[in-house]
Amino acid sequence: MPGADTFTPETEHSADGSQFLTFELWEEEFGIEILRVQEIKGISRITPIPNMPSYIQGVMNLRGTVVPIVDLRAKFGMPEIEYNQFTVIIVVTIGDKVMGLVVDAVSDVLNVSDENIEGAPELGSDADTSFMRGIAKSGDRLITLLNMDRLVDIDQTLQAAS
Amino acid sequence: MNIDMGQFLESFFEEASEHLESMEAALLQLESTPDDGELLNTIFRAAHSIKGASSTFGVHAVGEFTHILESLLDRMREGELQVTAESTELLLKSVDVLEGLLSAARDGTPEPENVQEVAASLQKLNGQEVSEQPGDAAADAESGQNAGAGCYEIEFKPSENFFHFGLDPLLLVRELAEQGTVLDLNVDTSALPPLAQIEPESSYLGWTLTLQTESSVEDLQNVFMFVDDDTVVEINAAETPSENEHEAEPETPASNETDSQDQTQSSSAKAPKKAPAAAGHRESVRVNGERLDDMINQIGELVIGISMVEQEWKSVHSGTESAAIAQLSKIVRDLQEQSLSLRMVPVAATFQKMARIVRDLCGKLGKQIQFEVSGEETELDKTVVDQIGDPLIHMIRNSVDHGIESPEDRVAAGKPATGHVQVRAYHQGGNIYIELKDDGKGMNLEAIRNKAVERGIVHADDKLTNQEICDLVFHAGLSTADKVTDVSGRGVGMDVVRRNIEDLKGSVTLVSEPGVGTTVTVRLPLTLAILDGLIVRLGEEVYVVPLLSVVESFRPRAGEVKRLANNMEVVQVRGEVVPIMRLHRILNIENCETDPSKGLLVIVEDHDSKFALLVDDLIGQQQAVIKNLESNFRKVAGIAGATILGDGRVALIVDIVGLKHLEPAPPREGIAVA
Repeated sequence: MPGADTFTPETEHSADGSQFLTFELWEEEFGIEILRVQEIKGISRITPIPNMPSYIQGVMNLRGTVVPIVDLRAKFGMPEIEYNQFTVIIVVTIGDKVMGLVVDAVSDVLNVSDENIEGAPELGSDADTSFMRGIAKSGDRLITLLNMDRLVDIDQTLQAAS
Repeated sequence: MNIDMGQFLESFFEEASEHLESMEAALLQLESTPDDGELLNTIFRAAHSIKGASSTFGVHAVGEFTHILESLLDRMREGELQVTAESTELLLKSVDVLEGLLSAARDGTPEPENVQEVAASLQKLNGQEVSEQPGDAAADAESGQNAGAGCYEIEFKPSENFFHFGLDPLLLVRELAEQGTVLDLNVDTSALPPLAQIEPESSYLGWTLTLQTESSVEDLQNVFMFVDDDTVVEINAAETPSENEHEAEPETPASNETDSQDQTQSSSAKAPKKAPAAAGHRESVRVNGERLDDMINQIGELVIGISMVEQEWKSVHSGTESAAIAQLSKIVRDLQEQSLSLRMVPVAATFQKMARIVRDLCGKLGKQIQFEVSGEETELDKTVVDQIGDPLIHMIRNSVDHGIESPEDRVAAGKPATGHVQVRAYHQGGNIYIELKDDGKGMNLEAIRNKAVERGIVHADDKLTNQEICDLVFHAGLSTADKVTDVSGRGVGMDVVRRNIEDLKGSVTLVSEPGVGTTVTVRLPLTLAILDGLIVRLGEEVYVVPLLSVVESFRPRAGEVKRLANNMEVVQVRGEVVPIMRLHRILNIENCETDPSKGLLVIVEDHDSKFALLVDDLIGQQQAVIKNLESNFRKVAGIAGATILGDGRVALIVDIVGLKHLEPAPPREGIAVA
């Protein structure tokens, strides 16, 4: 096919890097793999679940599916804010589960090549960095890349403890 | 040609196990009515279907075994072999072996050890009788042109979709060839399109063959048992060609020795050569369960969607109704009811398993039991049927092992030597009941009581009614079997039975009368997908209480609620003292009514206890489509699941049994003050 050559460099480019959806939390930038993102929704009615840690906001009706909502600010121990017009729910898939993450605002989609991703820093024993996948550099921006599977893992540990 | 056989294989296994089930059922019936030819036919047809399909799908172990089985059955069917108790026993064993072989082929479990042994017994039974037959089978088979031999012209034109059904015309032609001698074979290529237009997965060829065989038209028809309706199969008697022509035929297929033996035997019985009625359409369609559930879910959404439209209409048109929406809503609700009925299956298969177990146990324990079944056509949700099997089997084992006495003991007790075990299923008030009744010796209530006292479950001074003692058997850690037998008492007790049934949102009760017998009644919901719920308000939140558990609801007058020690609150309902559970406290919900005389008490009933839930208000009653939280989240204590209300928001369903375990909730400041 004649057109194949023109596509090759593009394909190669995204093959050694990954695309991330970046979002804001407490004026910091975070990123998650774009392939994990199912959709982005405005805040809608959330039903609280009793006796849950504060970061579990509750459950939401996503076209007939009951989806748990995690407030990432609460999850990371950041100060609470009122939800506003920028607040969104990023619906992600983790394994066969669907989960919504409440974030301050979504920013953009970023291509990051592997050499621009650094490992999660070790910050001593009192900072849990296990849910970080690494830190991406893009120009002078630093973006914390989240490890979705670890975010769930933490919940499972909690479940085992309860 | 490469077809993905996976999906066909799966349905083959499913169908095969259904055939096995019908074989087993017919065999069990055959025991009491050994002369019923129709039963033998049923068994034979099932074996034949399994044999045919297993060869097609390359499950040879099954194919070979069924072949032996089929030969024997064929002779029984033709009346050459008597149906005896031993032969039925052997055939039942064969069903077990086949089951084992099938699961070996499907799941890779080890093949049953007694395959060879059972196969040998089958052949022995068949062979023994052969020698007693006056007819010289071998000679007939060799001559190939005995008096019974007929000549048929068979036209076989597979439909275009033939391969899509997982069928292979070559296999069928070969099978025909095995039935006798092919004298002439022509290929019809008229339907073959130009090469460029050939679809590799379509079938274009047809065959006309002249077959000399001792088989009847029916036997030949049976070869085509599995072809689809669009396939043309015509079998006409043709003139027998001269001997020379026959010998000139270059390709005489070597016929399997056992096969030709069979044919000879069946031909000697001279089955009437009437044209069999066209194989009736199967009136069922196999559907992947997951797809079915998805559809039921979607229809559930549709119901919610419609009620959202209804509410929106009302809010826009100031409370008026729309006839069109009302009609649409009715259609959708009917549709939902129908979709739910798709999941319903009869309990017959489970009952049959029970019949088999009773039969086997009787032999083992030397008891005489007449097993009666009624209402086996009663339908239940597939999930319920799948999960109720083990508890039922456990209970039937109990009945046979501990309930029914040995014939001697029965006679000594003035009862007929043969015991009765009855299983019946019936509908009542939106529930299905399965009742298991035996006329055995009943429970030894004194022994149960003593054991319970010994284990510290009840106090020695407690006065218990007989019914209360009966209920104790469901208590964990109380096995009443004086000795642990091979049959029951191996740790899986009635408490597990009860838990399994409760997991299915059902309940179980046991009534036993010493010397007269025991009756166990299991109540099950029709379906697990929908629940009748009472919608209650707690602060700004809305919860659903399963209506099944609700006894009544009322607003207590001030002062009716009494406080006992430990801050335990109770209310008297018609003389009965019922503890109060403050739902908002357990579920930790803010801004709720804390004064019972301003809120409402909903009395709910768990199997052994009643308690009152304090809620703010009742909103209404609604059928709720149950969504589990585990699918995207995890199990939450005190919550049975979630549902989506008419306005689109999620409401949680409280789990009555689970709530009890949440009590006592950790004390919270400021609430304990009266």
